[in-house]
Amino acid sequence: MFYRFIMAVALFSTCLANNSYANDIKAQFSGFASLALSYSDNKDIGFAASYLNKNDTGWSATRDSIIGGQANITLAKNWDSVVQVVLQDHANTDFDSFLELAFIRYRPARNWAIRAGRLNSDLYLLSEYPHVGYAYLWVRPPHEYYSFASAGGHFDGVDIEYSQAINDGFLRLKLAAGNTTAKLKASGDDFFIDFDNLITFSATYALDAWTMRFSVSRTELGGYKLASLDEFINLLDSVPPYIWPQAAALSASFNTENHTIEYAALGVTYDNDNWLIQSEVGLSESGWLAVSSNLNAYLSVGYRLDSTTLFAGISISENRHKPTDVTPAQFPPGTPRQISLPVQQLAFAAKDAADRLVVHQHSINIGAKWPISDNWALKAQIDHFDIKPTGGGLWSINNAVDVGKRHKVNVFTFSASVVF
Amino acid sequence: MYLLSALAWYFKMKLPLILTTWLAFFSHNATSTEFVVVVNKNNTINTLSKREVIDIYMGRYLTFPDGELAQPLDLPSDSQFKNDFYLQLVNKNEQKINAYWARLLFSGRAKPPVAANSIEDALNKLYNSPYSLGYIPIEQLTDNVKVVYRFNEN
Repeated sequence: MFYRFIMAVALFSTCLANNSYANDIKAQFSGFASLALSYSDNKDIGFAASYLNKNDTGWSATRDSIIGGQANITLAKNWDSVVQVVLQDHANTDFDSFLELAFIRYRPARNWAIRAGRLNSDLYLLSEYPHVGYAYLWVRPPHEYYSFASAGGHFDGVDIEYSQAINDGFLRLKLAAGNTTAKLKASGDDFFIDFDNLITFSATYALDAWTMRFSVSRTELGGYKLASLDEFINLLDSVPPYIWPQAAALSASFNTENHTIEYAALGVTYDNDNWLIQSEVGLSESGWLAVSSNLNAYLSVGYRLDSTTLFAGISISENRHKPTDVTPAQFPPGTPRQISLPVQQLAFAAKDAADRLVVHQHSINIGAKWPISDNWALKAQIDHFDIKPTGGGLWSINNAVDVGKRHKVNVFTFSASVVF
Repeated sequence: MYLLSALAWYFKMKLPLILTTWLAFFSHNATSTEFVVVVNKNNTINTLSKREVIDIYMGRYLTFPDGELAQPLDLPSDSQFKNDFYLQLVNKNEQKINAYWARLLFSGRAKPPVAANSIEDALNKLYNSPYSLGYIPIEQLTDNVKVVYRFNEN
């Protein structure tokens, strides 16, 4: 509630900055956009750049298109505020889903900054600006690494940062705490997941051409909103253990209660003369079945030829544990079909749901970025995704029979990115 | 014999042009403009190290080392001076600097330096604001501003 109040104050100060009564409040408005056209060539499996966005196949002009606006407001000496709204192809279209930043910041000393309100996560190298296509090489951040990360891209809370020049380098340490709600859609219904008591620590060190970031994060899963999941869990709870002993364990795995997610990530960027090399490795551990415990990593190498940068990259996301094996129910001889059939159907649904959530895929990409002016850049990129059988957790798969199949997808994208 | 005569003619006529072109190319890449970093005369800061200039111009710190607010100024993009300054300061051209500032601005971390319309405009801003920090070619230096860093000193 407190953070909501801070966000409201930040939004109010944006309005006030435009008002002639507030002469001491100075505002600066800026924005960014990526206009993209892309084609995904596999009709069985829907692609989305972000876990929060709509999945689809074939041609799309909205899949990677984004427009954002930002207000930087100077409130007083040592006090400022930032509000950022980013429009993109989110499955959930509440205003809250598009509000990326709304915080008030106080700088008590040169090395310290404290922020409160809606904040951007500091988990990954790109997590503070994943929507600003002009600022990075690719048409979108690496899918394996950043797609699910978008669910926790911003949070409502507070962070404190300490920065210090050390010899020729510069160190930033940040500790953040808060909570967030990921707003998704499942079969057209609202699917909200609460991440409570989110705590993140990150250390970033920049030295000449090198930037390194290490971060660790932990969150508790709070409640969720999805009527069909409630119904599903209730059905699992109603199955007598002697008929299907695994039902109770599956119910606990699908329920968010008493589960946590831990994450650790390490990223390195080398940007010098003609070379731009970037790599990140992340490990997640989740007790909740809907979020698989994964090893995510990517390596991207770019080479500048005059003003054009050519790049190629490889990404992976692999499940670190054996996927949940749903065992069939065992019925004593003579069990009426009215009992056995629904339980068998429930077991089939549980297996389908568990299999759909596993993420196991690799991809390679090649592309080019051409700056055409001080604030415009054109990009072209081809991605080839190899999604392993029962590994399409980041994709939309309509037919249950396709979940266990291996899929190969090519995505061709052309985009124009601008900052203004 | 004819070939040797032709080569001799070629080097006599073309070599000066080639050398001039190469010298121009290298002098361009070497960013021969000599800059000084300057502040308002009333600013209590008398000297900055290159590291301190980098910290302010790259948005790492928003204040001078004494804690007072710093407002860095950029020269216009189309003047070549901005490109030369950043090559000398952090070995990054203007294209890289633009991408760098897109990252900082839209991560909510800091705002980029204010763009002056010309060297005269930058000098006016420096003259009028105690918080301003600017860079100008040394030949345009006036008595109205205070030099806090010279690139040839380190």
